[in-house]
Amino acid sequence: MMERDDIFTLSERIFRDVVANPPEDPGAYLVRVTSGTSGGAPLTLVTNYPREAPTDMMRGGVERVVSCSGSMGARLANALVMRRTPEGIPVRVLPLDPSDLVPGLEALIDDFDPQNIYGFCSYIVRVAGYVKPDTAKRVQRLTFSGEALLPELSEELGRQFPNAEQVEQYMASETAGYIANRFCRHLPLNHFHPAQGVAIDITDCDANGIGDIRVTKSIFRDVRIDQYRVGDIGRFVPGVCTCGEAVTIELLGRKGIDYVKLAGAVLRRQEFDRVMKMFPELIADYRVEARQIHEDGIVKGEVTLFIYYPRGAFSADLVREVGTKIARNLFVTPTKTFDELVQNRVFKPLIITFAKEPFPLGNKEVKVRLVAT
Amino acid sequence: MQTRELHALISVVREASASGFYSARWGAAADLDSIPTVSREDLRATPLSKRRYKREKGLVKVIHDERGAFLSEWSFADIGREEYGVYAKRPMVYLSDPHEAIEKSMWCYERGMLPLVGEKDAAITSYAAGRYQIDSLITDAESLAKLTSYLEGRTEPLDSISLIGASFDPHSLMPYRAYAARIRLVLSLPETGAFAAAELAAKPVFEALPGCTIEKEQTLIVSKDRMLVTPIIRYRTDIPTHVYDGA
Repeated sequence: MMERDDIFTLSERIFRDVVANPPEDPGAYLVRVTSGTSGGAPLTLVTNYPREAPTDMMRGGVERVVSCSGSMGARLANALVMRRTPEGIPVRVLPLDPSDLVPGLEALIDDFDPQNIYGFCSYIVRVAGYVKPDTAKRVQRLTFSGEALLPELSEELGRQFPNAEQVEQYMASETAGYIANRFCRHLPLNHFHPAQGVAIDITDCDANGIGDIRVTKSIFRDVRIDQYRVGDIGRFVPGVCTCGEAVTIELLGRKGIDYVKLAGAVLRRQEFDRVMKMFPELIADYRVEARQIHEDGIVKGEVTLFIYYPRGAFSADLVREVGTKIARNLFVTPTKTFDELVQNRVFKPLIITFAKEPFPLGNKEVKVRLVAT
Repeated sequence: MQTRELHALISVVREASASGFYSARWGAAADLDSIPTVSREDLRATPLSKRRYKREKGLVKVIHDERGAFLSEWSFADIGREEYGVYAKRPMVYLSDPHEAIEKSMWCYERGMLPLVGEKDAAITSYAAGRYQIDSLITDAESLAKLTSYLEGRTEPLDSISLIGASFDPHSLMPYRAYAARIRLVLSLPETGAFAAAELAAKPVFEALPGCTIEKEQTLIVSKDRMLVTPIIRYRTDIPTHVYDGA
C-alpha cells in the first residue's frame, strides 16, 4: 500500500530516469510542475499518457475541443492527447487561458464551433458565459475533470447546452491522470467505472462500505503505483452496471480533508489550521463548509466558517475583526488571499457562525468539506 | 524574388475551393509583385472558418491585440516545420503569451524533444527548470528577464536561448550572453510563425528563414512558400524594416 510520500519518492525516481534517459517517444509524456497546493513543495512530475486517452476525448467523431484549465501544463496535455489521434482525422484544440475570457470571445468560440468543452467544472461554467445560444446548441459534449460536478451546475449547464452529454473524468496528477470515467450514460453524477488499466480498492471501510479509495496502475515504463491512497473516500456500488461493467464506485469527496477545489481556488485544511492559530484564545476548534453557487451567471465560492468558542459567541465587532483578519491571511491560491478573491468576485465574503458544542470526532474526520448548495 | 515554390503556392491558393480569402483580394493579379498585401485587419475581419485552406489536426490560438482578437490555426505538422529553436535534450519553453507557449512546446514535440513548459509564476518555473536540468530555453525578452536569478545561479551556461519576438533591443539583451553558448533572435508573429533569425549581436543581421520571402518597404512584408491552414502570402507586418537591418 502506498501513501503520498511513496508517490513523491516514485516521482523523484521517474524524474531522475527521464533526465538521464529521455524517452524515445516524447509525445507520450508531459513534464510539469504542480504548484504545491496539496500542502507540500512543488512536485515535478512526468506523466505518461495512455494510448486510450485520445479515444476518450474524441469519442463519437468529435473533432473540435475547447480545453479549459488555468494550468498551462493541463492545456498542453490536452493538445498532446489530440496530437496522438490517428492520422487523417482533422482534430483541433483551442486551449483557453483565463486571459482569453474577455468581451469578444463569443465570436471566436462561434467561429471555432466546438463540439466538446473539456476541463475544470468552474472553468467550463466561466467559458459557458461566452458561448452564444446557437453555438451552445451544437456542442455535443461537456467533459468535466478535476472538480466535483454538483447537481445544480449540471442542471444549469444542461439548460445552456441542451444537446450536450455530460461526462466526468476522475483523475489525479500524481497518478498519471486517469483513474475512472463517467462516460457510461447509466451512471448518475459522481459515479464512475475504472479507467482502462486501473484497479480500484476501497479500504478501511465503515458500516456503510465507505472507505479510502486506493488505486493500482502503471504510471511510467515499469513503474506502478500499488494501492495508492488517493485521499478521496468512496464506496463500491453493488451489482453490475446496465452497460455490463462490473465495477462502479461512488466518489464521496476528500478524506481528511486535505483540500477542496472550488471556483478555481483551493481551500486547504493546512492553511486554515495555520490561520486559526492566530486566534488561540478565541477559536478552540473549527469546521469549514464550502459550496459553489451560481450568481449573475458566474460560479462563485461561498465559504462558511463554524467556530467553536467555549464562551458562546463573539460580539458583532469581534466577528467582523476576526473575519477580516482571516480573509486577509488565508491563501487560497499560491499568491492570492481569500480577501483578494472576494474583491475579484470569485468568492462571497466569508460567513462566520458559531457552534454551541464541540464538534463530534468521527471515523473520517473532516474539517474542510465541499457541500451541495 | 519570387521562388518557384511560392509561385506554385500562389497558383494553388488562387484556385482553392476551400477558401476565397486570397482570391477575392487578388483579382487578376497573378504574381508576387502585383498581388496586394494582406494584414492583421484582414485576418481579424475574416473568421477562421472562411480562411481555412486545409484541414489537419492541430492547434487553434487566440491572438490578442488592441484592435481585437482573432483566431490562428496551425497544424501540428506545420508547427514542427517552423524554425523556432534549436535541438536540445531538455528544452524549456517560457513565454508570456500562453498560446505561444503551448505552440512552441508542441514544436518541441514535433522535433522529438520533451519540453518543460513554464507556468506563469517565475519562481515555480525557475524551480522546475533546475529540477529538469534544462539545457536550452525558448522564450521572449519579457519572460527572459524574469529568469535572470535562475540563470545567474546556474553553474554552466545553457546551450542555447532562442528569443522569439517582433522586435528586439540588443543592448538590453547583451548581458544574457553570459548565460548561453548561443542566443538566437527569431523574428516571428503568432499568425505568421518564424520568418527570420539572427545571432544576438550589437547590430544583429537577420536572414530570412528557409521558405520565407521578405520584402522591405516601410515595414516588413512576409511570404511563406508552404501551404498553411491560412497561408502567409504578402503579409504586411507592423515590423519596421530597420529592425531587420539591425538598426
